[in-house]
Amino acid sequence: MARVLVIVPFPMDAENLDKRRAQLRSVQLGHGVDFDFRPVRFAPKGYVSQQDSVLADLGILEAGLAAQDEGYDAVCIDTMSDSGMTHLRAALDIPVIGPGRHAMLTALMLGERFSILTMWDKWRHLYSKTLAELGLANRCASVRPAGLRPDNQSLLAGKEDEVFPALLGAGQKCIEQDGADVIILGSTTMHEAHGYLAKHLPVPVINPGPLSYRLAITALRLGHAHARSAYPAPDAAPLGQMRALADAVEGQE
Amino acid sequence: MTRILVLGVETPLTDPEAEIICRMPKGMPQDVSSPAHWAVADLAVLAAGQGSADEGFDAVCVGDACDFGANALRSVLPIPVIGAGRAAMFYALTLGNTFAVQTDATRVHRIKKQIAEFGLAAHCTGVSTQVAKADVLIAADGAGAEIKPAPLSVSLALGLLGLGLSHSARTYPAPETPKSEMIQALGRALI
Repeated sequence: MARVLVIVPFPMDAENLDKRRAQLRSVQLGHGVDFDFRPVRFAPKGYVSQQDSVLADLGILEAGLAAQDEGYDAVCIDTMSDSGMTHLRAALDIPVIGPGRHAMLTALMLGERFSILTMWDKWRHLYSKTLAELGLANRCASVRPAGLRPDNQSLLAGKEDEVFPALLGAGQKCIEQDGADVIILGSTTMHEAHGYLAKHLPVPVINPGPLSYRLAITALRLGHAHARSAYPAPDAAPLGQMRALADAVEGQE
Repeated sequence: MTRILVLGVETPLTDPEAEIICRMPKGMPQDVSSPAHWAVADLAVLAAGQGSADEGFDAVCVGDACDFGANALRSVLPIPVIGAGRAAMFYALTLGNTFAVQTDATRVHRIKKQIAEFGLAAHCTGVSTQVAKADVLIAADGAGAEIKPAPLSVSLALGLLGLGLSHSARTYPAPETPKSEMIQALGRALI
């Protein structure tokens, strides 16, 4: 049985972790792979600034650095920011899947231009970074926010009547005004809206978390991993240092 | 059991999740070195695959990395169609920042055209019969390198089916007047 570690980018209790784990119900995964969800020990409050990006990279790196030694066969990172992906790829030989990079490249397997439908404009920098790294900014029809404040703990629960129509309206604009052939949900925290949006929008809607699980399976079945030349390894993985950092701040708001 | 049709691949493919049927399109030209051959190749693949949904297949993979006929099939089929070349190139960039394509001499020109169309020239370090230096190597003939397009296309097709995804109807709009009978007749006329 293969084992995949899914790193959840915020500390959270068991109930909220179940909301993240619910993404597994959105995809047929076949047999032979187990997915374990693990929250990070420390994180920024939100992902709205470059300060937050540094903290996110560190928290996710700490959570996944020992994954290979723990017997995991792959790692998925449960955030469209791909925080920590580059760092973990450098340190690990097993596949490390970041939904942002993978969703954008998958979108271009399905159509010519994609839009990123996001909760609010403060996440724009997350997508701009990945688009620039990939050199694919000209294939992004738009990053369109719905003007909604995200909640990275309780997600969309209880807010469906407000959130779903707002996301649908913004998604329609992605298609009609921006020319998107494919829409990517701008956060794995939006997965609870995926079924509704996929039903009501006339283009493919990519649910980035579940996509990352399927691509982990593809990588494992075909024996693929990231290229070492693109992600050079450190002389020694800084596990002790990362553990010390987490010990110093775990539990802080 | 999910059923996937793979066109343009002679070697049998297997996957634990699916029944895979490999089919060589009738009249597929052996030599695809010139654009003069490409229209025939497009037709051969289109004719071989246009009835796949009615045959009960859940997805179609065009296993040849040249993607002949893949766009046309996308425009006429209600099931996911994966062009192994397109898929392999974008997938390669999930693993590294650059890729090279190793292929036989007859496919070099076609694959260079695809790379330009996909906007990936800056990411490709070379298309040749030799192994080039890159983060990821795509073996267009499926032999001995990191990414083999045909098996990858099957795995990605299963992934799309598992996620309820398919290609975009905005990129691949259906024809106003389907010509399936004409295509079938043209396909039968290929030798």
